[in-house]
Amino acid sequence: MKFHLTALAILCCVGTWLQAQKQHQLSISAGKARSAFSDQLWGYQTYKGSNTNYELTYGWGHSKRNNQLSISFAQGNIAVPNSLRRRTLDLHFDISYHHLRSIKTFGKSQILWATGAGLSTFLDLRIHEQFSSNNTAAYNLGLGLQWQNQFSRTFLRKNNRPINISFLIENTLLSALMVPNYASTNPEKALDINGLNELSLGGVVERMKIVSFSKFWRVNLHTMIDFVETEKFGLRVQYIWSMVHSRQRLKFTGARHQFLGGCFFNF
Amino acid sequence: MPIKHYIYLSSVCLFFLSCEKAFITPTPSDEPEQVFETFWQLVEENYCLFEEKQVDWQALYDTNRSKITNSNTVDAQLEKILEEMLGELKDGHVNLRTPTGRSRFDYTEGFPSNLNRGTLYQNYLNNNSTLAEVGSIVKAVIDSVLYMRITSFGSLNNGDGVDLNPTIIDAEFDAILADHPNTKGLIIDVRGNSGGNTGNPDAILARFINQPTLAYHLRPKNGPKRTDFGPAEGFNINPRAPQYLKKVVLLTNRASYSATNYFASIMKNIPDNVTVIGGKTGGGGGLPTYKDLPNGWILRLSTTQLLDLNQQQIEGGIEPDINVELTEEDIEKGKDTILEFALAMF
Repeated sequence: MKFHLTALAILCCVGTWLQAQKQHQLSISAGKARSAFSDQLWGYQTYKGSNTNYELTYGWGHSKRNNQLSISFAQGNIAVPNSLRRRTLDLHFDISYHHLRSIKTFGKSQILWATGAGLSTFLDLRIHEQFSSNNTAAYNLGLGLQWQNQFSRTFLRKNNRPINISFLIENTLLSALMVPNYASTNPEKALDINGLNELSLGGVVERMKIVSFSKFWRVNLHTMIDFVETEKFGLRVQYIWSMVHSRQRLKFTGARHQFLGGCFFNF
Repeated sequence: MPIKHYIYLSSVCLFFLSCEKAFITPTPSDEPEQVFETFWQLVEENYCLFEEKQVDWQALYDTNRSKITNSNTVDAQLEKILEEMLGELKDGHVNLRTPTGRSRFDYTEGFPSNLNRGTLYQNYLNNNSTLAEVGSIVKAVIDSVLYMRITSFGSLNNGDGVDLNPTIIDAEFDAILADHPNTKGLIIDVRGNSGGNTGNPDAILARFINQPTLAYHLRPKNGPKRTDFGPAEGFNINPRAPQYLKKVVLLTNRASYSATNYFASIMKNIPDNVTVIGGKTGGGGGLPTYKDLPNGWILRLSTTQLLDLNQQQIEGGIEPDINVELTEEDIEKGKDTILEFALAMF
């Protein structure tokens, strides 16, 4: 009962707070990504492939301050250019929140600079399907604290409708991170593909390590173009380049080029 | 918008995009020399049983490196050399998969087989339909003793090599015990069982204990040096009621390998009512990982040590409590000496 009352109170507070914000926006995008990575856990190959990406974002705020909550999911197959392995699945899941505040408008160019911080929970999961019964999972599972800088500018099109162009640089500065052990397959209970059903929150938390920029970093560059069609509706095109580098006992580096198209609704 | 702002933004983009090229190292060449170098390095940095095997891996490099040249070495030659080198590790969990097949160290070579399936099925199991060893447990009641032959600890899979359920023994094992409440005891025969998933042995042991019991340790490699190991982590097995308290005899031979070797270890060390008889098991105390070679071949390596409850290696095999050998003369007489010895214990 206590839990339900607390949840209701939180919901009411959040709802009231959201109502107090001036603008709300919901956007849905989907697209394709080309990705490449090298993972020392599996040897010295470079793995390449394509993913299908989906992104759902909810933003609220006004011209000086804005918040955004986004959920993105991607899945696809990675080709191992030169291997007898059957195939590799590549999955990404990311929930992130950021808060940005406008701090400067550059003179004549009218480029608005906003800076802020964000929090992201991410899972990059790669599963090698083997010939025999042993599959191998590799992953980055973490919670990252990010620093963000956004540069945006609004133009008017010939039909007098606005077009917003924004460029966001997102750096992960600090993470609570879990990556596979050096010798990972069967003994890797948590997140080993045979042991997925044994995964417990406690086990994951226990294995999380706080790592800083030197051991792990993620950089995302979002380029976003919004074509405002009506007061309430518009079309969105995005290009996101993201890179992850983890240098624990094993090295992992991955890069993705995502091309997304979608729409947004203001309310 | 002044041009300099575009230049700033473009410079930032170019800086980050260039990281991609700098950090993602290109795939090494698939030429024989590079394959050999990568192969040697992967084994050197990842194999977890060098100390137990006493193999001079550097000497094997020195001997074989000069035999390989990009211009003159064909795949078949390279494969043979790599397989011979892996053979020196004498580890059944280590192998090389190539388009032409998979190498495998024969851990039974030079040891008595201690099992003749024809004799067993014809003379003791009434030549019943389970001769083909379909399914994981073959059962019989011989002289009022329940006999279970566990032919594999492999997982249930979808026929395409993908595990659906890692442990399948528990329900089957429990059902057979429940169907034979009035037998004098139990013989578990794991001769010829080459292993599978360790969850299956755990599920059986769970019927022989009455409290959470430390059963084994895992000691993983955690770095490239020979001495880079993480701490040995102990694992408990939880009991599954009702506890089986009658006498149990476990039959083993050299072909009892990997998860079966581990099964012999826990059954010998933990329950008081179990006696292991037959031959020494084959070993297989390293849990494997797969690595890609630059030419696409797949290297399977033991990378984590599986230790017994006292943190002792089980790679060398488990000695039975009572060593009983099945001789050629016994087989000619149609006699399974090991099974008969076990039956005589009840």
